[in-house]
Amino acid sequence: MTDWELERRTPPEHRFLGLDRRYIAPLALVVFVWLLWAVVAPAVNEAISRDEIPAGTTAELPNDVTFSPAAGWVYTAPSFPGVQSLELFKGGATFTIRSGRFEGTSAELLKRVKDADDDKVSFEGPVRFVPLAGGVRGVAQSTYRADSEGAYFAFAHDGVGVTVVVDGPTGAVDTPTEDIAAMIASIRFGTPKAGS
Amino acid sequence: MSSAGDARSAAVAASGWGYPVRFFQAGNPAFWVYLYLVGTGAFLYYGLVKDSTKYATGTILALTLCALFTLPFVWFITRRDRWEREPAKLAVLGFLWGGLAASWVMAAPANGAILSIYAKLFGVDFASSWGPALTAPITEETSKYAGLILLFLLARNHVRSAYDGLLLGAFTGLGFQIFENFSYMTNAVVNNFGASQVQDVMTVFVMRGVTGIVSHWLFSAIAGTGLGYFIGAKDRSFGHRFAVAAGFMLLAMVAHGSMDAVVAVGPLGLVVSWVVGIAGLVFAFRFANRRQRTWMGALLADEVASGTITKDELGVLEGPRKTKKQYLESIRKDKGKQAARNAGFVLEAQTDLAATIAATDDPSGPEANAARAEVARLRALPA
Repeated sequence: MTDWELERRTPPEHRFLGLDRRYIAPLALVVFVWLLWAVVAPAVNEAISRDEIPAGTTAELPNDVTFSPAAGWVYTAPSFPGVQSLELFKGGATFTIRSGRFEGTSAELLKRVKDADDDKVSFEGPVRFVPLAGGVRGVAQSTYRADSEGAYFAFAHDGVGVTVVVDGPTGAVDTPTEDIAAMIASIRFGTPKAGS
Repeated sequence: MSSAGDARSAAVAASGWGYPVRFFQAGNPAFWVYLYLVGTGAFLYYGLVKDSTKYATGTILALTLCALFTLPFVWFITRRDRWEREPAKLAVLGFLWGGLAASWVMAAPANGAILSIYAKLFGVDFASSWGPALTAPITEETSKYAGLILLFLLARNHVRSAYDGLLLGAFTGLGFQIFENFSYMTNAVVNNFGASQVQDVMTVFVMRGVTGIVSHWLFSAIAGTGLGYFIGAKDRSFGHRFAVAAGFMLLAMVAHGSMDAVVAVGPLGLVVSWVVGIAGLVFAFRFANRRQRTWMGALLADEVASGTITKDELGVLEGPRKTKKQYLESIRKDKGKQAARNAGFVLEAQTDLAATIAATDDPSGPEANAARAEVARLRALPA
């Protein structure tokens, strides 16, 4: 029998519950690294409280899009410069805004986003118009999932598209709808491109 | 057994070249940990990129570009695998660990959490400029390293040298890089609502392609060299091996951190990353090479005595890469281009002979004789 064949069988003195106990120390190191990064680091992050967004804050998104997060809401992830989407939450409701390049109408953008979304969202009711300052006409449609409800908003203007996804627990009485409406109304597109 | 035979057997045992690699090992806990974490990574990765599948043009283009981007690196890494052809099975296991487990199960949640902690403690400006440089080198290099430890536990008889660590590290890092690139490309498509799929994918590809020359594959190759040495150099003290492994890891982290510091310090970060990374890889390669070369001499010593290999050829096979270059150049000058080409084929066949002897530990067996016949055939080619 070769050394290799012998090594394929764990020698009796190294067996523990049928496994090779010589592997335990290096394997413990692997598991330690995994738990440190996948569990401990996120847990420490969660344990450090997030600061509520103060009144008067203006957030910037790519393509010269800005909006004003409502006071008292909290970013789920830091609002680093250049990020294409931001997510805020308050009282179980989430508000996710994204900007990108888009040549087309607001209705086409809404359709594009609906088509690309997963199948767990259902849309109900008519598509309604949502006006913004500067003559931008957006569209919106209500959504519902198994345990939540909300709406999709889409705004297309001058080669730039902005989508907002709002979601909150079904039947919640404290959904900050006024804040959401104010944040939607605060969306501003940048200076129009030359020649447009 | 002759002393040359003893030396050959010792080389076979020390190199591990002769041992097969099996993936399924029910009695090996490392197998189950690998399976669980890579499986989890595959699940997370699918969730990450599934939205992009609605945009067929972008997805197909991103897949194609990733595949094309991978090929030259695989060619380069396998070309560096001068002696033994690292088993493809191990290379694939490393690639998948890097692409699925190290990236999405370990590094991604850690990066997100630590960047967020920096932002909360020191502000968004600090976190966005210095955060990546102070996070990714630690989280990502250790995550890939964990996979190399698992590969060692899955193929303990095979992974036992700095050279193994270098090559498998490169494949693990390459997997990390390629899967990450694909997700960046498809995210760019989703972020722009699929409105400019080709442009978005190409923009990310060009940007990541340029910075990807000195990137994860190289950092992990450097770090892996130290781990391979730690595992294999049993004749040295624990402290010495630990210091060498820690040194190579530090080198990899400095190269990685310099690249990620580009937001904070500008292009200087990239320059430092390239200088440290390339110098580190050359150093790691030379460091790993020394031990392999001594095995080559032990495995082929009898072949010189029997006339299958000349002393000059063994000198080339044992020597650094430049020796081979000089040897072939001198043949080209004396006997012409074709003769130099044939001499290169003969050296390749002799390398295969060494690998065959190592794999069978039977220099008189049919496989070794077939490898010898191939050397003779190539030697007889007309110049």
